[in-house]
Amino acid sequence: MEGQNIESLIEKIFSRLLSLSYSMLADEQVARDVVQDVLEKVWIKRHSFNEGVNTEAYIYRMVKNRCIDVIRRRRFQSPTEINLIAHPVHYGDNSDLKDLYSITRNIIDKLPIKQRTIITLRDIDGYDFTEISDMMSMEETAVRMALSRARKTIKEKLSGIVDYGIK
Amino acid sequence: MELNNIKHLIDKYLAGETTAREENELREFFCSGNVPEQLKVYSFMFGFFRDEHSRLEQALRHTTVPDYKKNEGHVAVKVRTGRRFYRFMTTAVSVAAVLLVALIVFNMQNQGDASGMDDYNEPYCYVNGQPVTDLETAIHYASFAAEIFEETMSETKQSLESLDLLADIFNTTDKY
Repeated sequence: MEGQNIESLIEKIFSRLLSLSYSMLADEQVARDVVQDVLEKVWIKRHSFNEGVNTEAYIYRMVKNRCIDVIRRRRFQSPTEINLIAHPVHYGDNSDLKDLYSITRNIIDKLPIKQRTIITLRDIDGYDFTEISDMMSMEETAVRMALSRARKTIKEKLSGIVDYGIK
Repeated sequence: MELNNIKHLIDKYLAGETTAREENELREFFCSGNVPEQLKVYSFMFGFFRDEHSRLEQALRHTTVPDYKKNEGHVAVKVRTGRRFYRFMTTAVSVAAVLLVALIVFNMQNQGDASGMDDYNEPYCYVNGQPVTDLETAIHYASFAAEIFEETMSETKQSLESLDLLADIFNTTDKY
C-alpha cells in the first residue's frame, strides 16, 4: 500500500484507535503508547499491505492484540494502583459522588474485556453500532448483545449499592 | 417526558436496542435532576457516562497523531529483542527455581537421615545375624557374652600357666 494512503487512513481512524485502546485499557497514557507503537509498526510494514486487504480492520486488530498483551502483563499489578493512575476525576468535597464514581468505574473495569470495550465505545464515546462492529470485528447483533449484558450488570450492581449503601 | 415512555426506553436501553436519539433523550432526562427515587440508579449511570465522556473529550480527542515515522527501521528489531530477552529470562528463572527447590529438598532429606530421626528403629546389637531392638534382651545377651568371655579368659590363663610349668620343667632338665 502506498505511503500516502496509509497516512490518510491513519489520520482518519486515529481517534477511533485511541478510543478503542482506551476502552480496553482504561488508562490514557498507556492507550496512547499502544496506539503509537502500533502505528510505528504499520508504517514499517506499509509496503506489505496488499490492495483489497482490509487494512483498517487489520490495524484495529493490531491495537486490540497489543491491548490484550498489556492486560495480561497487568495481572501482576495491583488494581488500586491502576485506578489511581487512570482516573483522576475531581468531585470536590462530595464524597458520595466520589465513591459512586469509583464504584461505577470498578464495576466497568471488572466486566469481561469485550463488554467493557463495547460499553465504553457506545455509552461514553458515543460511537454508532456500525463503527463499533468494524472496530471489534463483530456482527452488529453480537455487539448489541454484549452491550445489553454490560448495561444490565452495571445497573444490577449499582442498584444494590444505591439501595443499601449510598443514598 | 412521561414516566411510562421513560420506562419503555429503559427496557430498550437495557436490551441494547435503543437508537442514538433515544439514548440522548434518556441522557437528558436522567441528568435533568427531576428523577423519581426508583429510577435514581440510572441517574448515576448516565451521570458517570457523561462525566467520563467530557473527561475523555479533553484528554483524548485533542490528541494529535503522534510521529509514527521516527523509528523506521528500529522498532521491529527492538520489539523482537525485548521479547526474546523476556522469554530467555523467564526460562532461566524457571530453571533456576526448579534447581533451587531440588537442592533444598535433597538437603532436607540428608539432614533428616543425619539427625538420627530414624534411630528409634536401629537395633542395639545383632545375635547370630538377627537384630535385637529390645533393650533388656540386648543387656541380657551382652552380660551373657561377658560371662563367656570371662570364662574363656580364665581357661586361657590356666592353659598358659600349665605351659609355663611345663617350660620350667624342661628348662630344669636341660640344666641338669
